[in-house]
Amino acid sequence: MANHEIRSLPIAVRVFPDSGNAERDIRSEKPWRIPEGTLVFDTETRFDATQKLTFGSYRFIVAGQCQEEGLFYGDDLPKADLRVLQEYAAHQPAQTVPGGVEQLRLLTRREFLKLFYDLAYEARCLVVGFNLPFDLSRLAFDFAPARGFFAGGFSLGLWSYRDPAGRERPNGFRPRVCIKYIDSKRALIGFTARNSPDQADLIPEGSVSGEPKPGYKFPGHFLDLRTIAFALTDEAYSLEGACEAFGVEHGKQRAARHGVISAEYIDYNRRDVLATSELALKLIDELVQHPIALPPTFAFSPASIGKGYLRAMGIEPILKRQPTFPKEYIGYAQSAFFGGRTSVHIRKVVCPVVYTDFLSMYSTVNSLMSLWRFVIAREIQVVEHCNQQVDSFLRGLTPDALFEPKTWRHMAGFVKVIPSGDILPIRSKYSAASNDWQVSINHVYAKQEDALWYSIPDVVASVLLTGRVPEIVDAFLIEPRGKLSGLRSTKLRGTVEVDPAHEDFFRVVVEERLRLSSRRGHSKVESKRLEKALKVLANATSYGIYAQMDRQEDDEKLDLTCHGIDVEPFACNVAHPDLPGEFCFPPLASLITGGARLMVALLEHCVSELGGTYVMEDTDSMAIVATEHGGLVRCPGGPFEMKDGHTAVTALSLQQVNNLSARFTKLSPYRNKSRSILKIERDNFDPATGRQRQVYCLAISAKRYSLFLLDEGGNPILLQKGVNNHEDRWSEHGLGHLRSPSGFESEDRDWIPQAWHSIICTALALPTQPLSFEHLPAIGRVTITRPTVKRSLARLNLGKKYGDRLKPFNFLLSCHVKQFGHPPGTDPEKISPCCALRIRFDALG
Amino acid sequence: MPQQLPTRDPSGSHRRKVVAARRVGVHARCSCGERRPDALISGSTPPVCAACKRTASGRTTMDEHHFAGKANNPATIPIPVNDHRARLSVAQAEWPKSTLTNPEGSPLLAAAACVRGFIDTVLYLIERGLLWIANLLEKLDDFQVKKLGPQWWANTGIEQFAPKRKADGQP
Repeated sequence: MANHEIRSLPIAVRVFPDSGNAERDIRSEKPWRIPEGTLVFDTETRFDATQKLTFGSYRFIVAGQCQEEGLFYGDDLPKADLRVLQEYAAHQPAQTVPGGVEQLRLLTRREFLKLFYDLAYEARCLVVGFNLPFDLSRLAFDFAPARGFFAGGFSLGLWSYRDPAGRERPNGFRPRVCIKYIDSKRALIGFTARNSPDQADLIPEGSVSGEPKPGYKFPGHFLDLRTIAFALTDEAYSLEGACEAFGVEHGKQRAARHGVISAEYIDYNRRDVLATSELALKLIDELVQHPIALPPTFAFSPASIGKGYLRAMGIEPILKRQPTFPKEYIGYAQSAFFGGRTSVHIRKVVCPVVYTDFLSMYSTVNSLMSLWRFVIAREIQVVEHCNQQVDSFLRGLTPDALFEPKTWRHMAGFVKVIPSGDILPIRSKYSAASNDWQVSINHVYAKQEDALWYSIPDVVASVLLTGRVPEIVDAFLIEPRGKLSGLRSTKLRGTVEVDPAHEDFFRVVVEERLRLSSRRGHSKVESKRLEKALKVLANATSYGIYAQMDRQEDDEKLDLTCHGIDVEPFACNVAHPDLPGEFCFPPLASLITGGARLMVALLEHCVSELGGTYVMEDTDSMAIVATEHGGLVRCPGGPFEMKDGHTAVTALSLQQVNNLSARFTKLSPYRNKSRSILKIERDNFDPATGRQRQVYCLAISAKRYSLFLLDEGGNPILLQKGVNNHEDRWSEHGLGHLRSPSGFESEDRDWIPQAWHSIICTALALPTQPLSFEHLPAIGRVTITRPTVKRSLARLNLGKKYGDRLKPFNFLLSCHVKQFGHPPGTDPEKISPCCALRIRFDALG
Repeated sequence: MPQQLPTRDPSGSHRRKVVAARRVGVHARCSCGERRPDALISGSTPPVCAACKRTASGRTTMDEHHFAGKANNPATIPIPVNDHRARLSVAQAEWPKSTLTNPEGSPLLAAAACVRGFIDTVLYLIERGLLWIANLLEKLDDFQVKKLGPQWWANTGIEQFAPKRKADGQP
């Protein structure tokens, strides 16, 4: 280290915030029955900045049978458009069952809202849509920032009346609809209270006595299919994609032209509603396969399902069942929490690699460290100040010992160290330009008074990579005592039995996934669904729920007690703090990610031991520099010199990488010991012949890399799904929000591989053609999801009627211009409504 | 045979049904077996139906039902109170509101109400007075087939009522 400058950097550590209030449990303990009635609707809008309602259609379904179907239209709809709707409704029958209303109804927005109120609020029907926040905000006539539980969201006024002066006023005798955006796939939606509620409104859902409960507010049953599809699959689907994935009979069709009302466009909208109603049945059926008491309207994410299973097995959150767990130790563990290890090691240089990946990393680490025993423990005890014990453990460690599974069971603890060149993760501001707090693994130095807490796996990784044990100031271990009473067996997706008292849940889930191909009695579709469900479940329960922190949106500041690296907590008063989620337990979260980082560090050590290196690593994967026979490969900046004078790195041979993989077999916690937990990924094999092929990697930053082949002429061929690989192998990290340069509405993502191809050609010093979209601005889509976003656009809404305003959940286009890539005098920060933007940039040329 | 006319307002009908069910509570049932929410008295613990409540207080269990609605015709017919509440009043709620309330006293709406009321009442009488007989006959036939074989009526006085068949057994 003598040649390296040691710079002093500010660091940040996480703290565990305690508001003193137990988290409000919004789950109902009563069994939830799907309402008999369902209202499915969808809206179409103007294709301009206002995106105001033109028309929509709905289906009212009782016990799975469509009783009524109709169209509705927006205020101020041009007469010509209204005539098209009237003509259509007069001649097209409703698609209802015998006994239902045969005529297709045509309602004004106000009439539809009356129906909506009757069904959604009074009859407490299920309200179904795909991306409901957008559709609900089309029906509204005003909006305001929401308060209380929905703080940070919008409160929409749907029902109004005209005062004597003819002004439209909110109807206080009707509820408002609040929507709090969580992310692009999830939002909380609910009714507010209304003035002078009927006695029937005050009867709680599922009431046995029918007795009104003063103050009760019916929240509504809003089911956004985008959300439940995400919860079941961990994938962000479009309506079209979800219909395909779940085998909907009447899937979504595509409109030839959006925005102009025609018979074909009305057909398209009605078909969307039909597809949505069929998809709702499929998704609810899929959720019902899971033997958990989770209403579809509460299935917000895979974690919701994971938590549902824990409850089904009789497992309550650790801090709920053991509220006396010492908070200072939670604080220490929280300060030691970091995410997955991800980095680029050889940057902007094309290298031949073997791409490797750990099998279900977090589940595997959970099993290896035997963390399930804590999840089901009657009590978790802290063994304090066991410095000596931990020091001995660290000093006795060898790489070979880390290949003994039993070693991993001894790492359930935390160490306070004074780093002195030890290789440890740290959160700091590394770049003055970005001013962001970022995590990196560095040689860390600190003064005695700045000792830091780390999980034992992190310290083990440092010992492995540096060969020495850091100075230990303090240490503690956690130990399980007894088992929870009332643990119950459950069947994963109704098929795979797990006994939580005697089996490691994480191990069972992964083993069942591996066993699926040999399972009999399942159709291909069923096997695929079960495989998906197990994968989602493994991910959902193995890590995230123990680290979950939820941002509080209420503008009111909260008094918090924060537990961090110091013995004594500190108090603060902050707005919008992150508060621990229901199952949050930082000791587990920190051990799981620490264990995963150790696993990658162990692989790094093994590669280095053989003289090799790697291009990138990302949480559970590593691209190891390797060729068929190994040896030096050209690499500018590499530590070796080739005969031709070029600098180089050493590539491992394929056999060496295979041997490495075989070595990790010993760490497999699974019954099938013939499989290593370090997989040589399928990308390394030709899907046609099954033979291993030479894959190359170019990484430009952490999480941004591409895998590809080189043809005989040395030209890159990207690994592409359905062409030469089982999936696309180029990173789209950080590009998800950008629209296709071929059109804002296009879902085409082909421009990304084109860009990667060009970047790779440049790195290979091959001639490149200018990209066809190079001169175009990068356009991203932004949704008005929060009042804070809305405020910045308030000026554009001044003096306009609701329909003509930029409304909640409207889409906007934002422009990212290269530095100095805009004409002099142009504001590069400009955000404009979509239609205006197109014109503006066309004008810019 | 349909026991009720197809509803002309499925959403309104559903709303009324759900709200009525909510008022009496989930799985509410009178000790007499009555479980139709509209027939049960909301807020009663344990749940009790209108007929049982009247019996307990020594009142008649029959109601006078304005078959065409009070606004249209003063004629009434005696109907058991539970059926009045859970069947005929519910059926009237399905009518166009203007027909039932007839605020201006339109003779045409009054006539329409009489027709609608007659239909509802006939359907009710069919269900209560005849439908049970159809059900009984079917059960009895089933019983006879099991006891005496598939053509149990052959060579009995009942044979004269059997539908005529061709030699090949076809109708």
